[in-house]
Formats: sequence, C-alpha cells, structure tokens
Amino acid sequence: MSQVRPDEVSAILRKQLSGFDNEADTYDVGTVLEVGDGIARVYGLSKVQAGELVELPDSKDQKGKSVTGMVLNLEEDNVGIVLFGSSSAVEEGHTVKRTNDIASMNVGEGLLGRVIDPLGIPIDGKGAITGETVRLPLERKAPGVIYREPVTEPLQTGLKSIDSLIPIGRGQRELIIGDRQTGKTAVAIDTIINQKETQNTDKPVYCIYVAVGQKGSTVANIRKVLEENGAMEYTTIVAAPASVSAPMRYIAPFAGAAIGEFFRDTGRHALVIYDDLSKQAVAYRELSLLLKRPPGREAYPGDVFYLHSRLLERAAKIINDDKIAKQMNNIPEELKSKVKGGGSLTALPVIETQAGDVSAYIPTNVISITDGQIFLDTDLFNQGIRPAIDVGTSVSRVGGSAQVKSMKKLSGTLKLDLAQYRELEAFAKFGSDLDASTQAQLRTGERTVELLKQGEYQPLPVEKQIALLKVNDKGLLNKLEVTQISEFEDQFLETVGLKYEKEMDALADSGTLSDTFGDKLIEIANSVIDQITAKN
Amino acid sequence: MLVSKAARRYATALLELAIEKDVLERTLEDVLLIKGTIESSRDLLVFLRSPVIKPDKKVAALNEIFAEKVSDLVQKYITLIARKNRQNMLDEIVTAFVDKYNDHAGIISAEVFVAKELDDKQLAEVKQTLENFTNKTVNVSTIVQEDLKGGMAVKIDDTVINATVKYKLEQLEDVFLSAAKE
Repeated sequence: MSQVRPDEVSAILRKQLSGFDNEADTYDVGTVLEVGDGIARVYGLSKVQAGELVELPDSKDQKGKSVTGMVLNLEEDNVGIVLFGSSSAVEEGHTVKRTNDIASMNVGEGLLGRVIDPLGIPIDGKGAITGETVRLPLERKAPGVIYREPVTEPLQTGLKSIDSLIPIGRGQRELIIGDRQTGKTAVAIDTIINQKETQNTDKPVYCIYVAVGQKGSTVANIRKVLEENGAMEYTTIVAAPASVSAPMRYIAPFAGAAIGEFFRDTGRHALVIYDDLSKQAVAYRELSLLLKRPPGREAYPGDVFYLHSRLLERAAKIINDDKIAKQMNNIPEELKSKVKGGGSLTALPVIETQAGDVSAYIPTNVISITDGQIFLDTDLFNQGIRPAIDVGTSVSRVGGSAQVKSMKKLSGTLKLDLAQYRELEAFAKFGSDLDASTQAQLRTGERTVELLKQGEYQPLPVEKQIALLKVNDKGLLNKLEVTQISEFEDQFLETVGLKYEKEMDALADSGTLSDTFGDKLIEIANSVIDQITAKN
Repeated sequence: MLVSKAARRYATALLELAIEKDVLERTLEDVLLIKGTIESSRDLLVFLRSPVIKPDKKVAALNEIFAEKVSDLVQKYITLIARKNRQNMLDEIVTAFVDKYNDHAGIISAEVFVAKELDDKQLAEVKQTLENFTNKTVNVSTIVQEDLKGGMAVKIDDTVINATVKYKLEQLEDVFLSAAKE
C-alpha cells in the first residue's frame, strides 16, 4: 500500500508557499449595475480593454468557482460584459475585477487527443493539459500578404468525389454546405480520419474539430468514432455544445483558430473544422441584440460578415522562408522564438442551410469568403448517392493547383462526363427511344456515379483513387452492371494492393502514374471484370 | 454614483462660470449646502423627482429653501435649472459639480477598507503615504469591515490596492486547490 510521508507533504507545502508573497496587489474594479440573459452592465473598470477577461470574485457558481466574463462593449458611462458562467450567480453590486488578460488560452502539443472548452480547460476528465504550452490570444490578426504563399500542397480528404473533382489544398478555406442530415459532419470526420496517413510522413496534419451548438451526445459520438479509428491521437476537440452560454459558442471557433495557428506558425500543418458557423452566427446575434447593438438583415448585427471573414482569413499557407516568417505581424511574445515558415492552416467551415436556401444571409456571406464550397444535396442523399456531393454546384477555386498530377489529368474528363450525364439524365426519365451514343453516355455516367459512392469512415488513399479513376477513364466499367461496381472496387483494390505494393507506394509518393504501371492496372481490372461476369 | 450626461453638462457650465467670475469657493460652499440639504432630507428628493408635482411649485419651494442662503449666481442657476425643467436632476447635478471641482482642484478621494477602526495617527500616516504616492490632495474615508481580518485595502477611483489578510488567504486557497488538481 502506498503511503504519504509527512516530510513529503511539508516539502510540497513549502514549495507552494514559496511563491506566496506578502506584497500588496493592485487591480482595477467595477460594480455590476444590471445583469440578465448572460450580459452584465458594469460601472467603473475605466481602463479596461475590449475583449479583456474579467472575474467576478463575489459571484460563485454551484461548484464555488467565481464567474468569468469578457468585455465586449465600452460605452461612455458603462461597460457591457458577457458572462461565461451562470448569470444567476451574479447580483447587482457585485465586484468585477480586471485580469489584464485579453481572452486567450494555453496551447501546446498536449492538447492533441483532448476535449477542451473554448477557454482551453479540459472537459474530458483526463486531468490538466501536460507539456509545454504558450498562451495565445483567441483573437489575432490574420497574417499579411507578404507572409503568405499560394496553395500548392494537397490536403487529401480520402473521399473520391472531393479529391478528384473539388480538390482541397493546404491553407485553403473550403466551405461544406447543405441542409440538415446530408452528411456534412461525415465529410469533415472522414477528412480527419484520412489524415492518419500523413502522421508517418514528415508533414503530418494535426486536426482541430470545433463543435458549436451541437448536441452533447453528438460530440461524444464524434469523439468515440475518432478514437475507434485511431484519429484522436492527432486531434483536439473544442466543444461548445448547445448547453453552454452564447459567449462560449461565439468564441469557440476563435479558440480552434488559435490552436491551429500554433501549428501553422511553428512550421507545421493543421486542419480546423468549424461545425457549424451558422450556429456561431446565431450565438453572436443573441449577444449583439442583448448588448443593444442595432440589428440588420435577418436581425444579424452589421459586423457578422467581419465575424466570419476575420476568422477564416486566419487560415493560410505561410511562406517557406523562416526569416520572413519570423517578422510576421501579430506574433505573441511567447511564440516568437518558435516561429518557422512553411506551415499551413486549412479551414473547413460548415454551414447548415434551411431547405436548400443558399441565398440566405449567412450562407452567401461565407460562400463569398471561402475559396469554394462543397454542396451537399438532400435529393442525392435520399437517392443513395453518398457522400451526397452535388458536383455541378460545388467548386474549389484554388485547390486545382495543389492536386496530384495524375489525378488532375484524370479528373478533367471525369468532370466533363459527369456534367454531360446530368444533362442527359433528365431526358432519360421520359423513357423515349434514345440513340446509341446517348445511351452509352448514360451507361458510363451511371457507373461513374456509382464509383464515386463511398461508405462513411472509409477514406481511400490517393493512389487507390487514381487506380480506380484510371480504370473508369478507359471505360472498362461499362462491361459491368451498376450493382457489381462495389464488388469490383473491393476485389480490384485488393489484387492491386497484393501484387503491386511497391508501385502503389511509389505512386503515393510521386503522384505520377507511369504508362507501364497504368497498363498493368488495366490488365488487372480486365481480369477482375472477367471473374465477376463469369460468376453470374 | 452614476450621473447622467445632462447633469454633467449642467455641472460643467456652473463650474466654468464660477471660475470665470472668480467665485469658485463661495459656489462650492453653496453647492455643498444644497447637496447636504438633499441628502439629509429624503422628502425633498422625492418632491423634486415626483412627476405629479407641477414644475412652478418645485421652483417656488426651491427658492424658499435656498433664498438668502446662497449667492446670487447659484440662485440664478437654480432658476435656470427650473426653467429648463431639470429640477429632478438637481441631486445629480450637485454630485457632478463636486466631482468636477475635485478634478479641478486636484483632490482625489480614497476609500480605506480596514478590519478595525484606525486611530488618528494611523489615519494621518495613511493620508500622507497616499498623498506622496499620488501627488494630489487625498480625502480619506474609512470603511470598517471585520471580515477582512487584518491588513488594509485602498480604493482610488477604480483601482484597488489590496493587502488584506482575507484576500491573501483567498489567494492561498486558490494556489493550494489548483495544485491539488494537478
């Protein structure tokens, strides 16, 4: 049995007490004038800064912890603060104390694998964050033009339809948009799981999943899925579920960005998912209206565009030059010694639309800010086309230059074929006689659509995607029935994996498909197709 | 006390006029008299603030109370406030005036929180220290709070200098509790 020795206890006490000084403490205070709906108006605090954290030592919540808040409004004779804790603990006349700390959190490698709240406090019951941390502000100016580089490196999502048709590059901001229940979160989670591949390379992608206003059970489920797929080791979940106060939901994406920036500015790669920004906008609208800021369209405040643009601008590819990167604007003092160039922060914001209405205020705003969007469609989802990506309306404005070479070559014709198929599909519904060439096009299109279907949590490495698309490009799939496509896919990939492991690895590294290996792939595909057709 | 923008403007006007006419000290005396009267008589405050009572009645009452006792300038000032229908703000205006005067004369007020009443010598020492520290004349008011247990806290404007035993104990509690969690 372990025992605690008395001298050990006194040593610890002495250590703790050594930091205890007898000097007087100086701080600024104010008094609560009125409180309600998570907002308090405070008299005093004359030197307080906007965005500063404040403490209310008189107001204790059920756990005996004092309530904290953040200054949002500085007015002529009072200060408007938003409360992070329960506002029922705050009473008129309570003291409000400045902390001289602009809203910030401790960030470090220790955050990976953890679930935290937007102020960086762990909520997964695994104890304090370990390891070295730096204190980073939640709100930070995005890097200036000279510290950026165009997007050149791909970020593989592992989804055939995205990597081929709407490629995403490191440092890009790609919006995932769609109605409820169309698989928006699934796309994001698959992308995180697929980053497992990068962990053994010299450019691993660390992931941050920010859950804003979601059900607590959903967040728990996502964590479980990530853990089961071994993705939690390189992922941080910032959770601000629907049960927390509006200010917490408002700052959660900024907390995610702050963690991402830590990796970005230290020369590494990070991916941050904001799920979802429409709920953050709603939380911000709530705060703004309570603070009596004038409402605009759909009652959102005037600066709701700036809210999202300043957040998404922080996603960037940093110039691959340490000397220039070190001069980057707005680097916090603690981080300065660690700054390196070449890092990136990719952002995948999620927006939920109502009944497919992409012309509502928040969706149009975010569409115009981001470098493209992945549009998920309810009808496609119900037809069983999953991921339900509407290839026609989805675009990626910068990802093309980051795409793997051979993938780019194959995707050109793929996009054209799919577009033609969609056009003809409408005619085909009439069931009238169609000429042979139209029928052939429809046949190919059906098979391509079937090939692009993919199960949840089953991301596919890029080299396997290329192999499949190569087979599709040659039109070999026309020999098969639509229902046989998935069987073919499994068998083909298995055979290729067994026979040509080295070549596939080379393809993954270089991204170029040689003619000889391409011919070999066609050979295998033909034999697999023969096998399947012979069986029936 | 939180005073409205209008009250501050009326107070500034009176202060500037008093400085111009060089009757600042006399004006301050008069204002302090009005302030004291309103503070000691709750009836008067209720009377001034009541929306039911007609403005001319308020003016008549004010004139009767303060006539003969205040200078000509302040007398006229009260009439002006009455004419502008701002009698209900009189208490705020006089508070604002005292604040403005203190600003002008370089006087600051400090609240000293202690666990036990200070004797005169200690009080003088505190005052002297604060005056050396701020380079201004300090009006010290003492507030006794027994739960502070010992030590002293001084509040000047919004700034608190805290060296009370209670505060130190709370800090110590925080240190131990946060250490326990790790």
